[in-house]
Amino acid sequence: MKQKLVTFIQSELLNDQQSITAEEDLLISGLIDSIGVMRLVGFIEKNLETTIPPKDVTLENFGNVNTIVSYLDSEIATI
Amino acid sequence: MSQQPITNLPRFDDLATRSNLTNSQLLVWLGQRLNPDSPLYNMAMRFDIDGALDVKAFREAISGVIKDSDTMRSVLEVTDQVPQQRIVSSIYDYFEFIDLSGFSDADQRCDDEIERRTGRIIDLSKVNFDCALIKLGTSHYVWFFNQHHCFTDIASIELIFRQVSNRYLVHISSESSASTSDAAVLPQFESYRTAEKFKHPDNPAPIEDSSTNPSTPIELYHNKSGSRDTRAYRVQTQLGEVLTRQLYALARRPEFSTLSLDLSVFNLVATAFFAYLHRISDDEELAIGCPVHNRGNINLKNTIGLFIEVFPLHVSVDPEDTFVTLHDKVSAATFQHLKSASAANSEVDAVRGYNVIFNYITAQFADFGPYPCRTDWLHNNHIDPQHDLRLQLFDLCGDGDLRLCFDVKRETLDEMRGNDALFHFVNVLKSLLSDPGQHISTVKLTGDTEGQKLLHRFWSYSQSTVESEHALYSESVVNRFRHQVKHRPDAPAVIDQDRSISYSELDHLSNMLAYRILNQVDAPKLIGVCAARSIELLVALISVHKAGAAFIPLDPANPDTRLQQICTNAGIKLLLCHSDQNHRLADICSTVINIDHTEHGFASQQLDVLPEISPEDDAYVIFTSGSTGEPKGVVIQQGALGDYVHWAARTYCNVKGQVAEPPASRQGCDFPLYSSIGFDLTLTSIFVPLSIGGCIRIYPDDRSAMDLSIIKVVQDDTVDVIKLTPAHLSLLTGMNLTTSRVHTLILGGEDFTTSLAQQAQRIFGSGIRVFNEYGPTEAVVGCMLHQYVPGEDNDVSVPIGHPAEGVNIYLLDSASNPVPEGVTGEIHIGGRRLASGYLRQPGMTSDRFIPDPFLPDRKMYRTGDLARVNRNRQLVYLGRKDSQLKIRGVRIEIAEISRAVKSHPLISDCHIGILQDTDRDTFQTPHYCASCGLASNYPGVSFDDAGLCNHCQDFNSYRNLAAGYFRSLPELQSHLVELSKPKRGRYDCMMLLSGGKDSTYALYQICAMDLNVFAMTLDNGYISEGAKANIRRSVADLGIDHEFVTTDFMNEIFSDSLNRHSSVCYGCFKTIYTLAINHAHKLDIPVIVTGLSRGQMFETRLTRQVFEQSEFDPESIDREVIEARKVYHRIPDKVTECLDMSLFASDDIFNEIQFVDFYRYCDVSMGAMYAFLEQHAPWTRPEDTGRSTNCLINDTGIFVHKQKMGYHNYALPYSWDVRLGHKQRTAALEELNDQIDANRVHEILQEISYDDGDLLQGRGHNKMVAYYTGNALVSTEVLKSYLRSRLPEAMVPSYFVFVDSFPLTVNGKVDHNALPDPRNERPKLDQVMIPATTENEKMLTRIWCDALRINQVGIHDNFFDLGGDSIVAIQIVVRAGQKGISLRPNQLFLHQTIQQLALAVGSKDSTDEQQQSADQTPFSLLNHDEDTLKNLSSLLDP
Repeated sequence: MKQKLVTFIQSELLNDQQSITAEEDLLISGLIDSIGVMRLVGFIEKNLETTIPPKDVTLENFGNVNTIVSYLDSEIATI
Repeated sequence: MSQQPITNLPRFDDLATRSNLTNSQLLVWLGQRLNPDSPLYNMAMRFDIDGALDVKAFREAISGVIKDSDTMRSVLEVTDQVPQQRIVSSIYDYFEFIDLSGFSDADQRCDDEIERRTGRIIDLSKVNFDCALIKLGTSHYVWFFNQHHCFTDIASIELIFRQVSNRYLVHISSESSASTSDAAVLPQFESYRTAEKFKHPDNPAPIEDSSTNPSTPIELYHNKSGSRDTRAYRVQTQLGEVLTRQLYALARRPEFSTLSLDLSVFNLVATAFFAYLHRISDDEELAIGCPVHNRGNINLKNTIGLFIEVFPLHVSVDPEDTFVTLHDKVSAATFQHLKSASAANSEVDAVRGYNVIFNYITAQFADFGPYPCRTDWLHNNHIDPQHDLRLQLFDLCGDGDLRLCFDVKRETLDEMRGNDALFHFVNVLKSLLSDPGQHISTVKLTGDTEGQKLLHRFWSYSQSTVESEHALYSESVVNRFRHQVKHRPDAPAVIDQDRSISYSELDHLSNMLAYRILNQVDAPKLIGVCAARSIELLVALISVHKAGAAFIPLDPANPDTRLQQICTNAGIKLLLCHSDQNHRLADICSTVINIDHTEHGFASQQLDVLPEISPEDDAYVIFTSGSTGEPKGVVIQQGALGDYVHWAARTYCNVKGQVAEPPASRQGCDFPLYSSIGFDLTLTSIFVPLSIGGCIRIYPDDRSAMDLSIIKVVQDDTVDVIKLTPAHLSLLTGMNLTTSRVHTLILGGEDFTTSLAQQAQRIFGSGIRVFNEYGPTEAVVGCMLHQYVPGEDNDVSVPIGHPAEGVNIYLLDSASNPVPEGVTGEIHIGGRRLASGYLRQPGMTSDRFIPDPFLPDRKMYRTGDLARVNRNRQLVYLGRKDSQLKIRGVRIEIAEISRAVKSHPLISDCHIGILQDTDRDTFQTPHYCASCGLASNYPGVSFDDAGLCNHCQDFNSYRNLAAGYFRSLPELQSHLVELSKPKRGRYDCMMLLSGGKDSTYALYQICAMDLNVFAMTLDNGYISEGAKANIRRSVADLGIDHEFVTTDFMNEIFSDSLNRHSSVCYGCFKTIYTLAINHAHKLDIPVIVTGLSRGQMFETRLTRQVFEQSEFDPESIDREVIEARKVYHRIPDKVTECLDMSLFASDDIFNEIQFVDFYRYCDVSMGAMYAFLEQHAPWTRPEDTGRSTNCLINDTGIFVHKQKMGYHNYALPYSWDVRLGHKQRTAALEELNDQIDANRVHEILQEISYDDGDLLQGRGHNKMVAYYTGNALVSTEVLKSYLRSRLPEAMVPSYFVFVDSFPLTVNGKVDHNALPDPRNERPKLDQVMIPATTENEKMLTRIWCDALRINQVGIHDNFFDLGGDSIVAIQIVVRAGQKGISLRPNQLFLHQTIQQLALAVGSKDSTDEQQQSADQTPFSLLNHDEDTLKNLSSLLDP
């Protein structure tokens, strides 16, 4: 999943112009914005056939790829 | 705008393929192409730079940006109507330097220049922007930059600004080189554009529910725009630093915070905006467009070009919402949309489909180079023609003070109202900020100043102006009458056909009667008057007043119960009545004075002095139907009545004062008295003429056709003023009365449409004065008035205009705040002309007559009527608050629909009815029988005081008798053995095995009887795997032969069964029986054993009626069951169409194969059954189905049945299980109230190809029916498509019914209850409707209509096409029998049309033959009522 997320962010959100690491701050650094995060949520939902409740879409959970993965691990059983 | 619209443009998708522009660009280009002279896409900015700018460096900086950005060098070339973007290597004439510093009026000149340039059309074939630097002083420059939206958006402009600023810094700091190394890396739009062009979005439908994508634009303040004019204006205000800080603070609170502050702010402001839009439109389903910058990554953020896309935000607002609950919906919707938003996903419809836009701009412009800079976004004074309103929210300078702009299309709201509108929105936003828990319906939209202004417009009463003249206004009607008696004693006061009495005679007679009243012991203050319209009636009414009492008019045309109810409620002791009414109320009223012969009898009475009448004395009490159904008496005082009469006389008869006039009758003041005296509208026609010297012409009650007396009135042509209802007026349609005496029509009582007002002008000629008088009984007949102005009043309804003298009208929201113009509010009536309250109803009185918040110490009446102020600042009536019709959240304007229907050339009049599903209301919580748990929503159920249902009560009476129907297991064994002799094939009997506990238990019992059993199961495609496993295990355990049978047509049968019976079981069981009989025949099995439960037997066969027969004969029931089987298998439906029915052609099969119901012979409790199965059988409870079923489609059948019929199809069967002790009441109720997964239902319905659109859409919605009169019946399809081109889909009625005329109530309003229920309409058939001609045909038609519950049957219509089935067939047989026509059910299947059937019964032979066969097989159930018959035909149903 981690790799999938990195790939999606790089190719879809960053247009292959930039590579990122799993630790890299996404939102705070301004790398992607809240709409980008929303698209990321859409991407995850589609891939995992799950629904992420709006209240879970927080900086803590979606700050970087690592936090996203650990959020998904703990909250979404299907991973 | 002068240009012609361009019509021959290619379609959008065609353009999209042929052009190299992105979709967003194309949309902008197209919008410009359609409005070539409008600068609507100019994005003009003004940057005020405070510093001694180096013009050369500035110029260099700009050139650099142009050089490095492909967008800046892009032009459009249009070939074959298709635009192509081309990048040129260099552009010219893009920059102008204007030095105004020498002018004293430099600022003004600058503003003018900027305004000129902002409105200038940019020629995209040359350059896509305009750039100027204006020098105003040595250290004040204005940079004007205006770029076409096709190539830019606000983020792009921010980027250009930053680029120019950075490059400028580089230029002024390093003189050496013009190269701009750090700023040169500008990504090119070209790469994005190409990528976007060839991108195939993998999720092309970001809108989660396209069906709710509303085509209905939001009507701002109920103004439609619809025009293509682009002229617009911007009104703006600063939110202020304090409120901006509050907003940010709120956005950071946990309950409102999201991923980013911007998004949280967006959600909060959008919440306020939705609340505002709801308040000013009344719409509950709101959709707006919201631009997103769509620059998802750093690369795009740094690209100059157009990226924004509009995403739709759709929110369902509930009037009960608080800001908090609405915010939850808004943020959920935003979340949903943003998740799926991605580049190239912009919906063309999304951009164009919304007339309201909310644009939150987060771009900020810093200083320019080293200098402070102020940024302003200039409005181009135009707007996309499809947009009525754009809310823009931004803080371009980053001051921490948000600016709110309303860009408003000029045609929608003028600038003054636009200003108010922005103010209203700001008020909503402020309310949100100060109290997020507030209900949105209570937010005050108007400020105090505007509220006062609005109030004053509808005030004609204030304490000071009026009290001085009070005496004149409040003079009693009797005194006004006496005044006329004095001046014209001999003038005719009342004419009743050949009888006529003068003013002095009327005065005398009423004096006499008044004395008689006063001579009663304890003469009451409240006197009932019950008399037909007559001279005596008028004498009586006046005499009551003269006696110092109030009258209660009792129209003899009302039913006894209503009159008695009124008399009892009012405690009437004394009644004045015609002797023919005496018997009706004598029991209730202790004293009755006969008024038949007023001329005689009391001439010699002692002439006492009659009492003085005070304005505070009660004058009359009129009973109106309350919404509760209980009539309530409205008490009106003398002063208020006098006040109304005075105003009405001046208004309608131009009688200014009470000056002495010649002793003749006053001209032009004659009224007809033709309407019910129980209706306060009629009082105008009595007291206005008598108070000014006019004459009343009486039209007596015409009991049979009261409606038509209005026609007689106009034909006689003896009156000048007519007070009437719109329904009365429409009866005159088509008449030519242009030479009539009538000069004034006063319409009241119902909504008065403009088209009817136009009719009035046609009927009476253009000279007629037509008044629309509004007023509830509580405000004395009429309190608002509008005189219809042809050509000016063009809305659907004639306005109700302005308040009468002495009346104040307040239009208030639910928190009693005045509502702004165009916003719906409830009419509150204040002033001096109000009822004193409801008779003997202090609670209701204080509820409706509440303290007037605007006039201290006065009351105002809360009408429950809704209205709003129209463009001409008149009030428009919108209907009752409690009967507002909303369909899918959109408020429906009945009058508008009615007008659209009437515009059809073949239709002359129309009345819209609302079918409320109250009789089949699934939403009310039912109550349940205390014993069996049968729900109160089951048809025909009633309960006794102990809460026992009628079925339980009945059952208790025949429980013992019924025992005679049942047998024992040994009897079953011998019966089966007997039936299987002589042995025909391998098997003795066939068991229908569903796999459930009942049939499995039965199978085990039968196998124990030493019979050779064959078991059969229908696999209908939805049998659970658990059940199948049970079946396999059981038959293996028993060692018997078993077969799963099926048919390929199961889904079609299910779908058909749902259509016909709202049940899947009906078709399934018919399939089982049909296949079983075929199979048994093939295998030569003589007996089929069913697992029909005892409850089902009681439900269908052993009904109360059976036991009411003189003798209970089980065998006759058996015979009837066999007869019913014959009918059942021959009813044509999908089963008979798809399965082999050849065996059923002859009755022989019913002798060859017998049915035996196992549980007729066995009584076993559920517990014992489970225990047995547990011990003896390898049977386990299936876990993959709903509770007690093996069938996965069962829930679907239940869901459909509940939706369509309003009750559970297992309600009665389960009640029988409970009644017989086979099921626990609580368990049954729990199971019946299980929630069914609607999504799963939808899936299954799709699997079986059942169209559930109507079902899911129709849930909980009222349906509209259009009743119409006209030249001819128009087909529903034609009408629907006609209306669809004129009305939003939600406003197209579901039903259309052609009627000869509209039935009227006794009060002259259209009688909704007397209109036919269109759910009973003849279905749409290919067959043309040919009416019956012969007597037989006519009689049969009536019987069919009655039994089929439809209003029309053509003689060639097929019985089954009309929805006929065995139930109906038997009902028809019964009804025909009652009319002396002998029929058998089979005849209906042989002769399936009225014509054929009439011929069959008409031919003597046939009748004889039928008579004979009817005698041979007595159909004893023919004497039963419908329920039994229904049960009979379902007696094969499980």
